[in-house]
Amino acid sequence: MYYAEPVAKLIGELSKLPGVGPKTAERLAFHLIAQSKEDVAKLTQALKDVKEKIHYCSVCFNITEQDPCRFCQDPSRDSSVICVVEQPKDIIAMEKTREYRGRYHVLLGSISPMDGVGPDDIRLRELLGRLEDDKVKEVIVATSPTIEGEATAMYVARLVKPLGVRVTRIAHGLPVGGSLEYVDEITLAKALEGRREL
Amino acid sequence: MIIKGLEVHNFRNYDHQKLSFAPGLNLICGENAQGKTNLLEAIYLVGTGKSFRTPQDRDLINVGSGASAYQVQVQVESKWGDLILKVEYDKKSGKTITLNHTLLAKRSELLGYLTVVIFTPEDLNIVKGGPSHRRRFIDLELAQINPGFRSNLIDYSKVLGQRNNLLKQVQNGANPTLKEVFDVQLTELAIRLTAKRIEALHRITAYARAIHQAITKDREELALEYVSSYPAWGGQRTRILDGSWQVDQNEQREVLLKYFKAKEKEEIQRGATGYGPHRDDLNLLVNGRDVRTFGSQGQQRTAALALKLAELEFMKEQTGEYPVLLLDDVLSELDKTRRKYLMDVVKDQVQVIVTSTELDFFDLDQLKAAKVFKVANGKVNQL
Repeated sequence: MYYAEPVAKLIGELSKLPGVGPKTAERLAFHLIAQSKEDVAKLTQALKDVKEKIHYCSVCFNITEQDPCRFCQDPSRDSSVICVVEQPKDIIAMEKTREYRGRYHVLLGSISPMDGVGPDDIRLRELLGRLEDDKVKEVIVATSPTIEGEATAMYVARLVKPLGVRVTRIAHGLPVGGSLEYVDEITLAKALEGRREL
Repeated sequence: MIIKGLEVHNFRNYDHQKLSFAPGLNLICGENAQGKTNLLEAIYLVGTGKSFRTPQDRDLINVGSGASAYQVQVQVESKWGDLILKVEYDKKSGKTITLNHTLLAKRSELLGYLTVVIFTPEDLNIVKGGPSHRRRFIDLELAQINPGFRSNLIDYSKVLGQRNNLLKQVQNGANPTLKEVFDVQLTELAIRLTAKRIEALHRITAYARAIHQAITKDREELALEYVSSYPAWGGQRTRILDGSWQVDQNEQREVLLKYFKAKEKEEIQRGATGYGPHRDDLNLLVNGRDVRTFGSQGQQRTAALALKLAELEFMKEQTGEYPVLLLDDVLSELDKTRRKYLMDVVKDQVQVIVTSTELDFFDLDQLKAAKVFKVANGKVNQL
């Protein structure tokens, strides 16, 4: 054992974090040891708070301090549209557009049989529950354009369409403001497929 | 496309070696196990980003030197101008690929700058071996020149993996609507993949047939037949590739989806996808008979040679210039007529880099025009 037990434990816990290997964990641990008591107390308080005060919204499964979350409570938002995303951080991305004024639904994952994630392991049933009253007219599926994201989108469409709700998929293609020559061939091919009349 | 120079550092059995090639014929001769093929491997590595012998980059590092990294650099003269392509691998930091000293983010960005066709004795398996050899033959060359096909192929194998996993789960009573979703996703990729393969095979067949006819002095006629793993075309599983046949993708989509539905029980029981391009095959027919089962050794070799040279012509057609032809020890596999045909075809048009244990295969004129290297124990000398 090279380290005193508390140090070894800290390194062990830190290296569980994504993107942190044993070397980085070691560096972070030594950094924390060198820090003042107050700074470390602030960090531990922040960690505790985030775990105690942040929950998943009982309606849309966004992360939130109050339940339901502010997007679900906001009366100025359009309740007839629900945008379906994979992760809470996708909501942030959508919000930055300032274009979308409807509600959200976070699936907390995407369907991937290879990883043992089926339809029952993501928040799909809850989405269907939200469609039961006839308020919702459109579901926008904004899952990632990956194999798993596409499969999830298709599955959502199969479940939602029979309920008489319009299902749309966000477009994929060229990034706005970019030059055509720097776009990779696959994206360009997709954009060509989804071309529109002018 | 011409390779002007090659430089390897701590690669296979080489410490450090620099070579400059002639635009035409280049001969690398030497005893067995001296490092002839290693030079072709280095060129292939720079062209495709991967070795044709091992998927493990660490295997390519010179063991004797105690080094932990290798470098391979190739100077290319092509329609893109003069290029310097470099592949480096370090045990710690992994592989880096640069084009004219600019770092490339992905291996796939390298493809297309140095196109190569390699012909080794193993390529006889395209004719004699199992279906996977023939699928590889067509898929690998298409992947080298068509980025759309490459991503199509990668996506297909990903979805195939997902669907196979799902089929195993359906055994234990999982969700059938989800199976439908993956049927649709796999079908979409499958029909595109098949259409691209068939389109390319039409062209390759046209070249191969002409080449085969020339080698056999019109005595034999080569034909290629695509064998689908399901009754894809009006209940038929095979179609002759004669160039006139257009694939109707909408019709194909419906056929495969229906077939997946019909074979649902069987596939669930097996827990694997039994139908699609990953199970398709090619039949090679000489005068109407399958050369794999009925052909003589010589006929099989002629067919393999015709296909490889057709690949060369096809790549020229698609990219606008001939790829570099790498011949690894194949001259000993061919008789005099076929050898002569091979060398005549490529003469003056294609840069060829040949490895051989002996020089007897070449006549004096060829030797005079060629650049000859002698390899002994990881050292190359120009003769």
